[in-house]
Amino acid sequence: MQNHKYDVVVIGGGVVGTAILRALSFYQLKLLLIEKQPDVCEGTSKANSGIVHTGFDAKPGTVEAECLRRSRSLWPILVENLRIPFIPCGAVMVATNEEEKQIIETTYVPNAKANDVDVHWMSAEEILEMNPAVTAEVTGGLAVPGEAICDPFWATRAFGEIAVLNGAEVVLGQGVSHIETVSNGEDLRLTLENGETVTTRYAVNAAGLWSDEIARMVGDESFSISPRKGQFILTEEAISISSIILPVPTKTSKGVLVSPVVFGGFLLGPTAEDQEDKWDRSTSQAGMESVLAGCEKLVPDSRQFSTIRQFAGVRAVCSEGDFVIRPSAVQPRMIHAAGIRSTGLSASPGIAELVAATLQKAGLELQANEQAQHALPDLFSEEQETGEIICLCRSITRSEIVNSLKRPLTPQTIDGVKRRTGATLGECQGNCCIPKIIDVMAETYPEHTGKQPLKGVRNSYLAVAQGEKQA
Amino acid sequence: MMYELVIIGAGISGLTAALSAWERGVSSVLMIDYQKRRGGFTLPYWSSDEFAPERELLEKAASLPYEIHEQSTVVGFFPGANGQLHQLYVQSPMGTYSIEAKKVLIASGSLEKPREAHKIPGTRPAGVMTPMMAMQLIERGYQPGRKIVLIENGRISRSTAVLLEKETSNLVKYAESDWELTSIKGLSRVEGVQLRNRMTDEINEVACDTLIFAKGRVPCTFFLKGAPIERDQHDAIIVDATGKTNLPDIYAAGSCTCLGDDDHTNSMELAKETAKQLF
Ligand SMILES: Cc1cc2nc3c(=O)[nH]c(=O)nc-3n(C[C@H](O)[C@H](O)[C@H](O)COP(=O)(O)OP(=O)(O)OC[C@H]3O[C@@H](n4cnc5c(N)ncnc54)[C@H](O)[C@@H]3O)c2cc1C
Repeated sequence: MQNHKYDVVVIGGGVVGTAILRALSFYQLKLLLIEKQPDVCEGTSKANSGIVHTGFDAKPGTVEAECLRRSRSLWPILVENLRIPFIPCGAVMVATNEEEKQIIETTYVPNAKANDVDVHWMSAEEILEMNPAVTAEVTGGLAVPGEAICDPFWATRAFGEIAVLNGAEVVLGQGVSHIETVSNGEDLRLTLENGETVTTRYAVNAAGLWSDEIARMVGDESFSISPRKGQFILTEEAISISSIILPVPTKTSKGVLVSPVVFGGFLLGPTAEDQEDKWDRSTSQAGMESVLAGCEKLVPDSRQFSTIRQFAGVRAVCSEGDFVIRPSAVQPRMIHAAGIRSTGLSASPGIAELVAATLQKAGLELQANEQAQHALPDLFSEEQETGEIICLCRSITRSEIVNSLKRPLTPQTIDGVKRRTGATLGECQGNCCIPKIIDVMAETYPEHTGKQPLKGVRNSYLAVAQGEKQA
Repeated sequence: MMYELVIIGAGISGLTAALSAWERGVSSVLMIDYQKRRGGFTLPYWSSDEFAPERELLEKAASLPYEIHEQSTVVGFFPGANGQLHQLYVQSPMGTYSIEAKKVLIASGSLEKPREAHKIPGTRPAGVMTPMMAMQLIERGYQPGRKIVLIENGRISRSTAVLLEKETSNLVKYAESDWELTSIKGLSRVEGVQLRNRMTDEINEVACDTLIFAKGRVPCTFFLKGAPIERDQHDAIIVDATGKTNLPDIYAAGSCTCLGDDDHTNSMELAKETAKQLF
């Protein structure tokens, strides 16, 4: 890795970083992505609502609105080429009184128009016919047919994999800890936590919540990031809704929503809680309560739903209030893709286009790579038989697990296998099959045997020490 | 392949029913089990005294002449209408195959319900596990943790504690009846738990690197999704006292049914009763 010079190093393997890596992999460039965690998509990209937004409510004229606009035409191609699980279910912003109807008509209809997003008014009858679980107090609502749901992890992984197939390299489990300018300002030298160094002509800062820290490494203090938590409840109850159900936002809050999930089930949430700690992804009683109190207004039965899992994600709220996509004023060889707060999944294809254009303006030559692949092949393993069931709750077979272990971005953690196969996502939450997955991983990669298996993030050891085999 | 009786699950209920079928002279019986060995999901606890009857059962079952397909999981179940044969699809190391049966006994047991089903607040680090996961880690030569908090609420958790005490001296037990688990802390690995005393409301913060907790059961009826066999709101198969389901010639017994219990204590009894009806 350290022997050659890269054209571009992308820092951060969330949906934004991998989308950028993918977009750049269609050019003749030497590329590297560096991700601190043992897998891609371990940051904000793994814990969100999974909605591909149209941008109907984005502030017109912002970088965010522009990225969302570009993304709208890119998603259909991505979904097809990368087979991203994607359901064009549409959304309805539900009004329950005259005041909310007014807000929709005076704020959201003109806003959607300014962003060129198709919306229309829907009667209460129409809403209830398609979504019988919605409150009987509904007086009508705004339909946004272009809103959709997808699997954020699949998107992130697939962006990374296609880039790897096109020659990009990926380093996992090592963060960038230091950046210096070398070669008379022509190059950047990045030092990783393990002391290795990498030289590159350009760096892209896609470190999400930590993108301000990366900016500081080149002396750039122009923006800062603060964390805002969102808690969710996941249920597998059969709720009679077919679209994403949104509340009418108030002045202080966007409110919580009820949304179908691509793998089945429904998401309730998220909260919006400002906090100090970028790492705090805990859920709380108060958070759960505020999710239920909000959802109850949209879907009255919300409190009765059983839950299979709760989780929280943390948004990167930027001091500039908009996406920061520009070369650093201090070090123009670093391009920021930062401050990507609430719509980064939806906007990632557009962000990637914009970053590529910004790099070109900064002097990077973009020569098309004629050999580049655009579509992801399905199979990466020669397994003929499906093998036995490993994950009982979800009927996931041995070969599905082995297959996931042989993909271009190899999972090194249980959560990595989980997100690639669906194993452990059922009612028992992996307590039955995780040890069996550890066995399959050890059989597939005997060189790893004896290492401590990890759950997900760094140091998340599943068992603390290797003892003696019991008699 | 056609059998008089197919028993889904070779755990406490399945083995009990199989022994009873053998005593009654039924010869064409097939047992199917997800695990590598017979014994069911509670097998790891059987070295504890509280599972002495189960140990005895396993000894007796060793002499059963019936075919048993291990690492084999039923993934599709199509009941035969009007006395026709039932059809089962089984996933095994060799791939998928189908079998036919005149009668089916579902004895597929249940898994332990983890913290997620109970909305326990806090973080989601490694080191939070149910007894089943802890025992499976030990079996593989791993130690589940160095400082373990275990919530005791039945014979499974009690047995786990007994077995863990042989492995580690650093185990603290809290009785579920006295203490409510209110929060889990730690980023990558558990760093502590918070417990509330149900009587005094006293809050106890305990530092630990492992939490062993489960409450309730998840009936293993996943393969019945979409099948016409009635289940209750917890996915347990609805049976009468004799193990009859809503469909003829389909029976169920043990912790996968609405009559079973979380600790699998009445599984033998239920299976014996059901087996009487079978032949
Ligand atoms: C509650 C909630 C709901 C949301 N709902 C939606 C939605 O429905 N639709 C939508 O489009 N968006 C949604 N979002 C927003 C979306 O999730 C984010 O905008 C997006 O995931 C940001 O991606 P990212 O790649 O910038 O950040 P991340 O995914 O956080 O990636 C940054 C990566 O950088 C790595 N990193 C950090 N420091 C270093 C270092 N020094 N060296 C190397 N790597 C480093 C991190 O480990 C991390 O993996 C939601 C967000 C939240 C919190």
